[in-house]
Amino acid sequence: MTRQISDRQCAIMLAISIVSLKLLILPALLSRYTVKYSYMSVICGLAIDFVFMIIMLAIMYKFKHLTFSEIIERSFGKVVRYLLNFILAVYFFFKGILIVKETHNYFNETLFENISWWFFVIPMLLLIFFIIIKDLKTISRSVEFFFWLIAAGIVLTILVPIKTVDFSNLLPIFSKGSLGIPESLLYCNFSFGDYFVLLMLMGRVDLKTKSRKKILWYATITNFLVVLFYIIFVAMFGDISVNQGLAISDMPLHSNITSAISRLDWIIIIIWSITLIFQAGALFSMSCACLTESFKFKNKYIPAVAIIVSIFITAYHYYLDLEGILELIISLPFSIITMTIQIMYPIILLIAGAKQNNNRKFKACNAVIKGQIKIQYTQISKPKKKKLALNFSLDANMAKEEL
Amino acid sequence: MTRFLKKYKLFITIALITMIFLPFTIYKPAETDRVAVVTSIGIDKNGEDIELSLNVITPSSQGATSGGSVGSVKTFAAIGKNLSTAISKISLSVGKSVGLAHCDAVVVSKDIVEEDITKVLDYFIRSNNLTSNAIIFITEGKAKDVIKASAQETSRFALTLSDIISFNKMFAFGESINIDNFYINYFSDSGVSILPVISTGPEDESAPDDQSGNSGDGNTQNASGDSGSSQSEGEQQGGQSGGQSGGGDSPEPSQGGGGQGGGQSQGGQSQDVIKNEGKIVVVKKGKYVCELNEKQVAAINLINSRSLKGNITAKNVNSDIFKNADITYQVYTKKVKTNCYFIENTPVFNFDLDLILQIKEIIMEDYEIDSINGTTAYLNGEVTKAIKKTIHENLSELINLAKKEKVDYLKVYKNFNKFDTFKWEKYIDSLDDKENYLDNVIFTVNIIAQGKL
Repeated sequence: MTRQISDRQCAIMLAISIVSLKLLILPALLSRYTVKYSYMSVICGLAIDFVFMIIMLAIMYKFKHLTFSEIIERSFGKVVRYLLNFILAVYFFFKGILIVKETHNYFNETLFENISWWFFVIPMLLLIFFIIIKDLKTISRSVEFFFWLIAAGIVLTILVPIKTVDFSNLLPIFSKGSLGIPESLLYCNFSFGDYFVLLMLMGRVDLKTKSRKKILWYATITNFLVVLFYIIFVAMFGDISVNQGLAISDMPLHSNITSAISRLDWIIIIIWSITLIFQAGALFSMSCACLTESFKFKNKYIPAVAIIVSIFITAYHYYLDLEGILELIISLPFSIITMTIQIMYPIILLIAGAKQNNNRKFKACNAVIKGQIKIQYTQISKPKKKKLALNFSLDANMAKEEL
Repeated sequence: MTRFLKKYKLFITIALITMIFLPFTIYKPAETDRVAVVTSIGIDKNGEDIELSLNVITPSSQGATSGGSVGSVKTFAAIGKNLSTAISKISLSVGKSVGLAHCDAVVVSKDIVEEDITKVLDYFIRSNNLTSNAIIFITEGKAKDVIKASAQETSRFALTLSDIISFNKMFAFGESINIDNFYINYFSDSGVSILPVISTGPEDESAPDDQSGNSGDGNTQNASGDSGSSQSEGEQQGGQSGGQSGGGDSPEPSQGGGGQGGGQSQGGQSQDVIKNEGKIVVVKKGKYVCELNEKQVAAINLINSRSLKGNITAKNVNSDIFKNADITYQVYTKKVKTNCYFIENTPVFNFDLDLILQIKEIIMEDYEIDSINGTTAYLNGEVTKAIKKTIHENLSELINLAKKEKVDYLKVYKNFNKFDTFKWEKYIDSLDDKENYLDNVIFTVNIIAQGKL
C-alpha cells in the first residue's frame, strides 16, 4: 500500500464506511434501547464521529507524508506501534466479520432462501482474498467506480416510501424517556467509529488545500442521508421498528406502491450487496495491513491467508448464528472495549501530534519514478538545526537505487 | 510458476470460482421447481383448527411458448392446528416449499377476527419470507372462496385483489392496512385498525355480458373437476385452461383439496368473483368490534386526506331552482386538517375541511331550464347548507359510534398525544375508566365548500 489515493477516493471510502454497518441491522438494534428514538442515537453517534473525523483530518494534514504507524513509532516507539497495529487488526477483523455475517443473513433472507453456507462462504472468501492482496489504490478505485450506484440505491430507498410516511409519527419526542439514547450508543458503538478508516489512509492520501473541505462535505452529506434514513424508518415503523431486522430492504417493501410495480427492493438488495462486499473487503484489507505492520511480514500472502483462515473459522463457528455475533458485540465488556479503542486512538494521535510539535519537525519528500510515488522520505530535525541531513533533490535514478 | 500465478491471479480466481460452482449450478434444480410462489393467502376457522388456502403460481414453459400465460394459478388448502402446520401440509401436497415473498393479500374470515386476528397473523410478522406490504382483507364468508375466486380471473373485468388494494388506497379509505400497519396500530395506544371487507358473488352481476367467461369460447373456463386427480381447487391457466365445469365432490381440505372447481356455480355458466362493496370492519387489539355502514364509510373517507374522491349527496333541497331535489357532488379536491386543543381541561378535536365540489347529479321531479345551467355549480344558499348538514350528520354518526364502541378510528389519542402530550396525559389520568377517553372529547367541524364547474 504505497501508492497514494486521491482525496475524492478517500472521501468515498469514508462515506461507504459510514453507511455500511448502519442501514441493515443497526436500526432494529438501536430500537431495542430507544424504541422510537433510534434517529436521535444516530444523530448523537454521527456527531461524535464527526468530531473525531475532524481531529483525524487535522492529524493527517499535520503529517501529510507519515502513516499511522510512523507517527506512533516516532512518538512512542516500536512496541507501542506493534501493539496499536495489532489491536487495530483485531478491531477491523471483527467489523469485517460482522459485515460478512450480515451479508450472509441478508442473502439468506432476501435473495436466496436456501443458499448453502458453502455456496456463500467460498466465493466470499475468494473475493475477500483477492481484495486483500490488492493495494489500497485498487480498492479505492473500485469503490469509486460503484459509488454513484450505491448512492443512487440509498437515495432510492429513501425516496420510494417517503410519500407514504407521516413524519408527525415522530412525535411526541422523549415521551418514552431519553435514557435509551446513551444506552444504545454504549451498546451499539461498534457500528460507529468510522473515522478509523482515516487511520489507515494516513500518509496515503494526496491531500491538497481543499481536500479537507471535500472529505468533510462527503461525510456531512452521507451523515445527512443516514439520519434521513433513520427518521423515515422510525416515522414509518414506529413501535415495531425493533421487528425490522433488514431495514434497508424492509423500507421499500412497506410501501404499498411496490405492490403495483413488483419487487422494487431487489434493485436495492443487489446494490446493497455490492456495498457490503466492498466494505468487508476493505476492512479485511485494513486488518491485513495492520497485521503486516504489527508482525513485519515480508510476504503479503502470509497475513492474507491468516485473515482468510480466521474468517473461515469464525464464520464456521457462528455458522448461521448472526444473533450470536450481535449478542457478543452488544455485550457490556465488548462495548466498553470497543468504545475505549474508539476514544483512545484519536487521543493517542493528539498526544503524538503535540509531542512531535514540541520536540521535532518533519520534512518530507517523495521519490517519483514515472509519475508514481515510490518512496516517501521523511526527515526529523531538531528545530534549532538549520541544515537537513537529507538532500531533497533526489532524482529518479537515486530512487531506483534505493529501491 | 509463481510468476504465472501472479500474472494471471484474476483469471485464476475467476476460473476457480467457475470450476467450483459450475457442476453445482448445472445440477441444481430451478428455484421455481423447489419453491411454490404464493400470491394470496386465505385463512378460515375449522372447528378448533385453522384452514389455510394458498394461491400458488405454477410456472409453465408450455404456456409461455404457446402464447398463453407464463403460468397458472392453483389454489391449495390444508387444515392444521396452526399456520405452521397448515403450511407444512401444503408444502407436502405441492412438493415444494412455500415461498411467500410475492404474496400481496391475506384474506381472513370474519369468525377469526371475532375471536382474535393476531393469532393467525403472528406467523407473518415473524416471517421474513412474507413481504410486509401484504394487505389484510376480511371476508364475511369463507376466505377460501375469495382465494379461489381470485385464482379464476376468468374475465378481464373481474375484480382482482390487486384492483381492490389500489382502489381502496386511492378512493375508498385512503390507506390499505398491511401487516406492518396492523401491528403498528395494534401496539399504539388506541389499538384500533380499520380493515376492508370483501366478498364473493356470481360474476354476471358485475361483469359485462360479453365477458361472462363461460366454457364455450375456449378462452376462459372453470377449474378442474377431476376428483382426486389434482390437489388444486381452482385453476386458471393463462388463456388456455381446461374446460371442465365445477360441481365436483368436496374433498377434505386437509388432504390438500381435490378436484372441485373454485367457486363456480353448478351449471358452469357463471362463477363467483370477488366483490368489493366498500365495507369496513373496526378491529381493536385484534378483535372485531363493529362494522361501518355506508354513511360512516363515506364520512371516514371524507376526513381522510389521502383518499382522493368521494360523493356527497344533499337530500330534499328546496330553492328557486330545486324542488325536493337530491343533489350529488363529487369531492374534486380537499384539504383536511385536524387540530386538537384544550378548553379548560376539555379536549376539543377539530376537523377543518376545505372542499372543492363538482356537481354530478340532480334528481328531482320537475326540472327547470336553470337546473341544467352548465355555467354554475349551484353551491350557494340552500344547497351549501344542505351539503354541510349532510357532512355533519355523517360525521356525527361516525363519532357517536366511536364513542359508543370505544374505538378510536379517528386517531384522537394519537393526535392529542403528539401535539399536546402533557395536557392529554393529565386528562387521561383524570379519568376513572381510561378506555372511555372519547366520551368527554368535543368534536367540531369547520367546512368550507367551493364549487367547481
